[in-house]
Amino acid sequence: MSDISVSLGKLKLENPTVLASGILGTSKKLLERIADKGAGAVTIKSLTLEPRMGHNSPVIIEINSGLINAVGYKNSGIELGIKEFSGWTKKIPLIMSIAAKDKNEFSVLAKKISDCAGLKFSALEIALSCLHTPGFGTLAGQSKPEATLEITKAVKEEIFVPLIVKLSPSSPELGETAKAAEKGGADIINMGNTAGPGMVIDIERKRPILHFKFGGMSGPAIRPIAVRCVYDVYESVDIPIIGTGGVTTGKDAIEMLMAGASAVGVGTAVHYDSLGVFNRINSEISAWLSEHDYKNIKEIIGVVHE
Amino acid sequence: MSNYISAKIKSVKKENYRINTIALEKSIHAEPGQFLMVWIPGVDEKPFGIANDDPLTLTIANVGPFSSKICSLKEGELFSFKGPFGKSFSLTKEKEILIVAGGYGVVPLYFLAERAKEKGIKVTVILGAKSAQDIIYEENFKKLGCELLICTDDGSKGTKGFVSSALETLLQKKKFDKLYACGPNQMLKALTKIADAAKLDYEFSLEAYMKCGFGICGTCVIGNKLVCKDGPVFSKKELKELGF
Repeated sequence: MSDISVSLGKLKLENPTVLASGILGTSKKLLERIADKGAGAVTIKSLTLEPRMGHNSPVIIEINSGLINAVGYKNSGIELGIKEFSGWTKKIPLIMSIAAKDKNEFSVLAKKISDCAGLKFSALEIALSCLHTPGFGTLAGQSKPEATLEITKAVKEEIFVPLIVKLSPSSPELGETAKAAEKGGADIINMGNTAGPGMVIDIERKRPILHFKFGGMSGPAIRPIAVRCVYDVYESVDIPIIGTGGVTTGKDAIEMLMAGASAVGVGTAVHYDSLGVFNRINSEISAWLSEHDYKNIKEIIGVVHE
Repeated sequence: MSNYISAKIKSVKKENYRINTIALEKSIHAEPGQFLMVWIPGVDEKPFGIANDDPLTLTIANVGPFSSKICSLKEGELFSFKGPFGKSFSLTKEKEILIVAGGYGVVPLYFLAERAKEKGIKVTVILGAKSAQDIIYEENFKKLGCELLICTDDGSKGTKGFVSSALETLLQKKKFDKLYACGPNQMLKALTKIADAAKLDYEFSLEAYMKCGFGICGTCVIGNKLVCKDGPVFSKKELKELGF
């Protein structure tokens, strides 16, 4: 058996699969169930300062080889969220995730999370890359290098755990943005959010299907974009990368690792394979490594750059 | 490309002062307990239980802005949906079943009664609602040949009182292979106590606020379960884990 444990700096994972934020991470018990299903780490659905209802439905629809969504950060708000996720007892890391309108709001949220003694979390992720929520992410210019730098700096001052900055594959200055996150104190880059935005029209009703009209694309349809982004970010920064975007098989994960990721986000794949997806990806990775005489998964990280 | 189906409305039947039954010029394959996501472009999308799959029939109560829009749809207009989604009620070796429906929780249970009758299973139904005017599907169950007990909170029709009391009384004199129910959570919690005491197995369909309907967004989570994908029908064991 090959060793498939990975390190994201100080964050150690038994295997490289990380439940991506926004998929299912709405309750502690649900995340515990996912932990029992073999995930290497789990990320909560992002919390905002105030509770949010999100966009009207349809918020998620299936496309060829993926999903397109405009959920709009539906969540119970930071106060209820902190309560919900307190008392984590599983061995795998729990990653908290926040989304906010500006650096001050990010800083307030980070402090609230840091100050909560009952919250046993291992890292904090900040989402600067949502494509479909006015006031947040790319629609608030957060994926630009200057904004990324100032938000990352502000959050870093409030926390004592590794900071993950989640970037958008649709960012026009990706390398510069990744460097800004690193300069601001990010410990890890999560390279990958939904791509696009895209639109799907129902021709019978002659209307866009998503209530918000456009949304972020995810799943196998965007994997080549995600792989290219990971490749670019690996060239730009020295901090470890979580490669997120369209990974549904062990071979997809291997590809992402070769591009430079140290771990892979898993989100849309849950739609195709339910919660069994984590164990399956891990055993497929192990099988591939063994077949190719690799004793340790770390040997393949970034090999395409050599 | 779209995974929505749009079909013309074949008929609209007024069940009572706020409930309409809409039949479409379309049939699908669905099992009792499954639901559809009904979409009104530019408005919203919400889950609704299936009353029949051939022709596709839904019974919808006007309880808010969205359902009000659906109830205003007329014959010949387009109706859009996707699905069916979710787990259905199971009918295996049962010979005699009991159905308890609270309010418009009756919709998926009527579909179940129909399938049970096709299999030659005896069906007894306890139909409960606030008042006489809220009782729907009475004639449909009678036509199927189900034993029917009606109770209303105000006593304006049938026995005065909750379905839980009617269940308790009935179980003292009669045995059933399984209890199937749908209605408000408080009602379902009361039913579990009575059914447990009578050592009666059960399956309940739960209601939840949903956004995506197919197990991605996590909005409908209860405990560690997703109502849209793990449910909406849950077994006795699952209901116990969920604190029912």
